[in-house]
Amino acid sequence: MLINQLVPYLLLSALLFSTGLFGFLMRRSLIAMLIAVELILNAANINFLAFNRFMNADKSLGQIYSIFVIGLAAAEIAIGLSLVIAVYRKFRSINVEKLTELKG
Amino acid sequence: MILSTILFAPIVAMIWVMCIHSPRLIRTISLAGSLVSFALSAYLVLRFDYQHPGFQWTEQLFELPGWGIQFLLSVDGLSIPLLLLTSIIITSGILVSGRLEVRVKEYFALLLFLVSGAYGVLLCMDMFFFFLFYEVAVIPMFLLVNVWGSGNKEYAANKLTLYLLAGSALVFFGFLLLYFQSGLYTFDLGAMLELAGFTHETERWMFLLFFLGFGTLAATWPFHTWSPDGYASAPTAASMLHAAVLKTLGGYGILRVAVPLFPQGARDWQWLMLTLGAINIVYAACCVIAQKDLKYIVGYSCVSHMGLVMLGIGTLSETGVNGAMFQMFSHGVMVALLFACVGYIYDTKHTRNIEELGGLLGEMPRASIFFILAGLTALGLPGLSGFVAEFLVIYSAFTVSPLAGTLALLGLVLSAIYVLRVFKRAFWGVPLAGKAAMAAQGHESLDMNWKMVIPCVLLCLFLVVLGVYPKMFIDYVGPTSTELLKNLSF
Amino acid sequence: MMDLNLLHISVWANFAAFFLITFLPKNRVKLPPAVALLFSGAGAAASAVLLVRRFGGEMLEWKFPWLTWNSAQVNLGYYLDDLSLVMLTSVCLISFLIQLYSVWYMNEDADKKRFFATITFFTWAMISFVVSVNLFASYLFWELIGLASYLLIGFWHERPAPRRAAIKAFVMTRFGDLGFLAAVILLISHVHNLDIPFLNSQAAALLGPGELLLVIVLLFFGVMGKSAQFPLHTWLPDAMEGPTPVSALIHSATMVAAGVYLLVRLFPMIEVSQGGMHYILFIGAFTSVLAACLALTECDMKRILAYSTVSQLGFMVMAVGSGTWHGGMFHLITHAFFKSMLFLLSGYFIFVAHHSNSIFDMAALPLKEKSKWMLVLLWIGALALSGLFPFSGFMSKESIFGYLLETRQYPVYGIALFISFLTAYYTTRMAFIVSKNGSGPGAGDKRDSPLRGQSLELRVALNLPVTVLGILTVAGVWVFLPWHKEFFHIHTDWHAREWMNLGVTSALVLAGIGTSFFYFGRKSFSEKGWPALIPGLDFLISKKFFMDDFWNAVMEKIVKGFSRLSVWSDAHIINAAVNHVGLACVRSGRAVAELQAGEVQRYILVALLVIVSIIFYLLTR
Repeated sequence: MLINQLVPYLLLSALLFSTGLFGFLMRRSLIAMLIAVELILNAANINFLAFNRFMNADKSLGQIYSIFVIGLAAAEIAIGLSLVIAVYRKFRSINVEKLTELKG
Repeated sequence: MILSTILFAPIVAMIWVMCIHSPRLIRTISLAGSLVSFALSAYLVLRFDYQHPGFQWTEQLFELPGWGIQFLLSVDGLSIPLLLLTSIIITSGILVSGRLEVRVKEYFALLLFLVSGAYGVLLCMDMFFFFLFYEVAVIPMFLLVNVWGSGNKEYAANKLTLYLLAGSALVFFGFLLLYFQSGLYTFDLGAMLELAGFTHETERWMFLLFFLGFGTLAATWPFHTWSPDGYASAPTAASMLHAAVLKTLGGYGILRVAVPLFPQGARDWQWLMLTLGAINIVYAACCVIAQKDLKYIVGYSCVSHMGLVMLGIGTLSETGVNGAMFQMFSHGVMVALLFACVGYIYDTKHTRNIEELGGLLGEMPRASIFFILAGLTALGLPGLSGFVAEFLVIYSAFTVSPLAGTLALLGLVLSAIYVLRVFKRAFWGVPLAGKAAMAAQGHESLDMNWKMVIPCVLLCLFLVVLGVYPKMFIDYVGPTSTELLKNLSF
Repeated sequence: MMDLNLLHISVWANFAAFFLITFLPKNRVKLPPAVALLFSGAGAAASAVLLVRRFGGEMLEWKFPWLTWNSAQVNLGYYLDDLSLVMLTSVCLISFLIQLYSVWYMNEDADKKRFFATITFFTWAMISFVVSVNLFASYLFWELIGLASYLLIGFWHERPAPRRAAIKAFVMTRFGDLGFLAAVILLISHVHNLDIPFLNSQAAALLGPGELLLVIVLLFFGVMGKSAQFPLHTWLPDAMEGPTPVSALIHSATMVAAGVYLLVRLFPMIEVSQGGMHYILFIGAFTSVLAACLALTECDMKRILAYSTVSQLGFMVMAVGSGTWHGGMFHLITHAFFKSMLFLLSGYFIFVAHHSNSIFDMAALPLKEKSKWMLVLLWIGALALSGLFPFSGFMSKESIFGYLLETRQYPVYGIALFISFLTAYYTTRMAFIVSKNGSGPGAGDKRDSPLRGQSLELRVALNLPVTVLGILTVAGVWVFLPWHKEFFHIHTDWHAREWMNLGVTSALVLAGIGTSFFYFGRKSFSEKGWPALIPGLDFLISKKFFMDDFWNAVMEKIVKGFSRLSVWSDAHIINAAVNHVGLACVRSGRAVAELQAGEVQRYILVALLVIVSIIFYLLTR
């Protein structure tokens, strides 16, 4: 059965990762980029769980990691959003193309 | 102890200067530091047994055995006159900076740092420290030009620093090549001279490398343009020190490193040295004729005179090298005096354009007489030191290449033209500002006070004494130049 | 030993004066002339004693090494034989008299200190040149003479003309000096010893004929500069911008005399080379004729005298070139006396004519009433310069003519006669016009002495030198004749040839004077005389044979052209290259900086691509 195999999970995670990466690179809004980062993190989570389910003896390890990542993602979103608000306050925009203070 | 005292006296004075605030005290301490070096180098000059050239004082402070690096100080007949020159110039440089009022502390600290670099280059017989101290001398110059300079100073400072770094980088590249290629894994010049043997092919390219590196430091055509720009922008004491000492270090390096180590290479590239030397003399002299800024005039004439040093070395004959060493000394004293006078004139009249000056002889007779004396040295008047040096170089150039000799002779007429032109425009005639302006200032004399006169008299004394009795100097350096050229005689 | 001490005194007296005057306080205006006179008087006295004691005796040599290097040695010191003794004495004497005259002339000048310091320095340099034992040392003093003359010609540097004249004098003589220096270098590298007695006895043998010729030509190039020979003669007339005593000094005993003296000094060496002698002869003769032509229509008294100096120097050089250094030297000495007198007189006349140099302005003055004695002296000088019996100029010219006739150099003899005619003509033209005794505007009261209000010592300072020189011009030669006839090769046994020579030369001189009288001596006189009648000549003279234009062109076009070229190439080739290297660094930095646009997403993209390519590389390895 399809549901009992590793590959479909990996494909799903790869799809999610690519979507996230695409969004991260192409979207110009900081918030959209944060959402894209969430997608990438979730792709990683799926990978963790899938590999844990099919490859590893200790069933708890992958779940611990994925819970850890979820927590991390929440913290990241919190900090990221506050940064976005700070950026918006300073530049009146959250378009990354306009945030080029660091150019050489 | 003597040698390390000479080297560290300015450094100690520099540290002390940085800890105090009173400008008066700062000046006194800097002067004291330079006078210590001056007294000790004079002592060395008097005690040196010139009949037996070679290293007569040696001090090893520490060494890094695994690296082949040691902190070795020693002096011979080649470096002792230049040590004396350096100490004269820094002493008079500090004395003529009496009117400076901006950031006094930093200025004197940097000057002392600069001169300790110059002493280090002359004293160190280890190529690693040779390079290190040269860099020590370059960086303060950058700051001195940038902070206390005038005119287009950022451009000039960048150009000067980059050029000197490029020249010394070439030299350091050569040192590293020597370090590895010789198979000795040492930076010690003495050991290198004794042990290393190179094939003809290696010597040829190594000599070229060193010649270009040191040649850039000595402002050899076509790598000379840093020098007029840099000196025009630098503050007085910095131009004095740099034109008199650091520029001659280029010639010193060729005599110290390149010629004894690569005698066959020197023979191969003799034509290049002669050609560039002759071009330097004539080309730079032609450039001076069209200049209007007094500092540019002095700067270009300095380039022209360095051509004589290069030409003298290029003859690879004892007379020529004697002449080149004489010229290094005499030119150093002369150009320092010229810069001191120009600096004074600029401070007083706030212009250096000879078309806006005139009648200085009436307005400031002492400063004018010093400038005129130095100018007459520049045009090679007998009785002043410049003539003897020029004669020896031209004489030996004639024996090697009549064409180069003729070009150098032509330089004598050109130098007469440019020097007299400056006299005519700036010193003779009626003051352009007019006597009324002087009267308005309440008869305040514009002339140098005694504090300025002392260093100028000191410099003049050297010009006159060496010009009247040059045998002293030639006897002094003669055996050394024989020693330097001994590898050539095969 | 005593002679050596006397020599020390006569050489160093002037230097001591220079040294003392330099350090005198500025406000003591009376001291500089006093010091100068005291010391140079002592020097002149010492040299006179030396002349009496030593003349005809053996030579004195004293030297010490000044500079040595591996192959050669340069000595400084004295070399005193009859030749340098005679020259030494006349230089000392004339410069003392001229310094005395300067006390009058410079009376109103503010900067006496500078003047007397420089003029004593000048005298010292010339004396040292005369007695120096070594050719290299001669070169040293030769250059110092040039410097001193530069400082003196430009003494009134507040005016532009003296500044220009001074620079011209220095640069042109320096240009000539290159030849001298090159000759010195050539001699050192071949002969190794530059002592003058050694050169005179050995050098010709040690050098090949070609090298000897080269040495002579180069050496003579230096002489051309100093002694104002064609084509380097143009500085001398311009040098008239200096104070008149300076002109007198430059034109008689110092500076220009140095060149001829050098030729005479080295005559035994030069004599060996036929080609060299011919070259010297040719240049001398050409200069002499050319300068005599230039003097024909000149109106400026000092310039007439200047051209006549150039011409007479050419005459001396020609004499040396034809083989009689005795004659050349004789003429140099006699010329020094009467020419310095003429210049001192011109200074007086210019003063009387309210600082106008024009002889026509002087003609308008009632000089016969005002300054009879000066006019008499002027005529003595003019006749001596013309070479009329019994003045000293006659004797020295006669010596040269006699030699030329004796050695059958008829073409040269002809040229010399022609020069003699021209000299007599232009000199007496000047004298005739100046003594016109008119009563033109500005003449003032006839009984009013021009020296009114001047003190006794000033009058002495004016009258004594010219009178002494006048007496020497008339009687000097005759008094000393038995004494130096050996030295100057004066003929004492007269045959038909000598009598014929005397007749021919005197006739030509009288013809010159007669022509001059015809044009200028009578009531109505012309301004230019016969040269205006010859088509083209007047034009050429007014253009000075284009020599000034030539040298201006050299200076303006060639030297300044090269100078502009160098500056241009410095700015547009070398510096442009340097700046472009710098700019290239900056530009490449900018180009790389494009990657760092500050856009986060671009950075990530680049990072991603890099990671992918690393992975790709690792996989395909």
